[in-house]
Amino acid sequence: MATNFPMRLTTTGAVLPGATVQAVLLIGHPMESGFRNLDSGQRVPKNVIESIVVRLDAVNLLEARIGIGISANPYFAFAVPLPAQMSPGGWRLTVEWLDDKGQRGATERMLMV
Amino acid sequence: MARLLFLLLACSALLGATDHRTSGNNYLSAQLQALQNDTQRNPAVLWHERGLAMWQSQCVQCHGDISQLKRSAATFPRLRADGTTLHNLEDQISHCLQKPKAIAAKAIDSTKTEPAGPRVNSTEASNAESDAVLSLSAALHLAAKGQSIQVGPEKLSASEATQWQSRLNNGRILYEGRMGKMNLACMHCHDQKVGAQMRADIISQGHPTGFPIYRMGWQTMGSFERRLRACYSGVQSPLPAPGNTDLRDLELFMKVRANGMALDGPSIRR
Repeated sequence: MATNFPMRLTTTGAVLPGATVQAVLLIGHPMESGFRNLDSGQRVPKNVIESIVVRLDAVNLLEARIGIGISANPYFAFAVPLPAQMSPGGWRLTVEWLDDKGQRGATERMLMV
Repeated sequence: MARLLFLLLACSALLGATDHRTSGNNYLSAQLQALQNDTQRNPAVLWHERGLAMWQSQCVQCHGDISQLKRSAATFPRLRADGTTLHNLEDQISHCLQKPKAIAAKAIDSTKTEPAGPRVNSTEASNAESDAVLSLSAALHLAAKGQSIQVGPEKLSASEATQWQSRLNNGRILYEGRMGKMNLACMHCHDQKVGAQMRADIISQGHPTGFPIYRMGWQTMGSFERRLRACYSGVQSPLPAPGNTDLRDLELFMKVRANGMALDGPSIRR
């Protein structure tokens, strides 16, 4: 199921030890509030992402608890501060989300110097 | 000097005389145009990328690289094999996806956390407004970016050309005929009130160059057909069902009306 939720994680800015890059996350998700009706009058069941976790390697960078206030195909932009120590293999930026139906999605991006 | 001036004048007169038609993208607000041009933020890219992934897993075996079909989006709607009705690009994609070969093809994306299965189930494949069909439509339209619309009866047999012409005539009647409680025809806004404000929107010339569209009001991608149905709803007319021949005829007329214009979809709409 999760393959039907496309995700897009991009960064801008130079990847250097101690630098901060800007990350942009787009998730293809309907974010149904549960208040919408079809033309037939039938209620569209609620289906929203409840949590998003962003990690840089093993460190939790960001945890978001979101709900019906976020529109479809949510867009998030956040700063990613990189450690001062050089990492030879680069840093792994991962994103995971979980919605109220138990559907999950994940993506990752290697930040190479 | 005089000769040069004459040449310049002649050129500008020629250009001025040729075409006043312009894409709906030119009626967008500056903010939406910025969003459209920013691939980091543009939500339509999600559909486009999924469409490309689907192409690589399900279409590439028969059709080859997507660039080989770059003329495709510019030449729909076409007559169906039955020779009487029309189908548009989304109908064609849906038809293709329902072939057993496409359904059997497995997704290539095994790097993701979830097991990769067939990306398109039969419900999605048969629905011309599903995310799967719209994703492929978005990918094909992006591959066709800059291609000029060329819809015509040239390659048809004489009897088919007659059918094609009658579909086109019906499309023109729909475009020019008043409908709904508002008692408006398409042309009353999109020919006669172009540039005027309608609520918070600016009325465009109504050329179908930028489809499929990510419309903010829908919070999702939609086809040209969906946009047409929204117009029916706007003039408070009974909605034709999806796939109705009237919608295809109207699409044919509007594509012919836009013949020669460059495709510039997928795009953002308010």
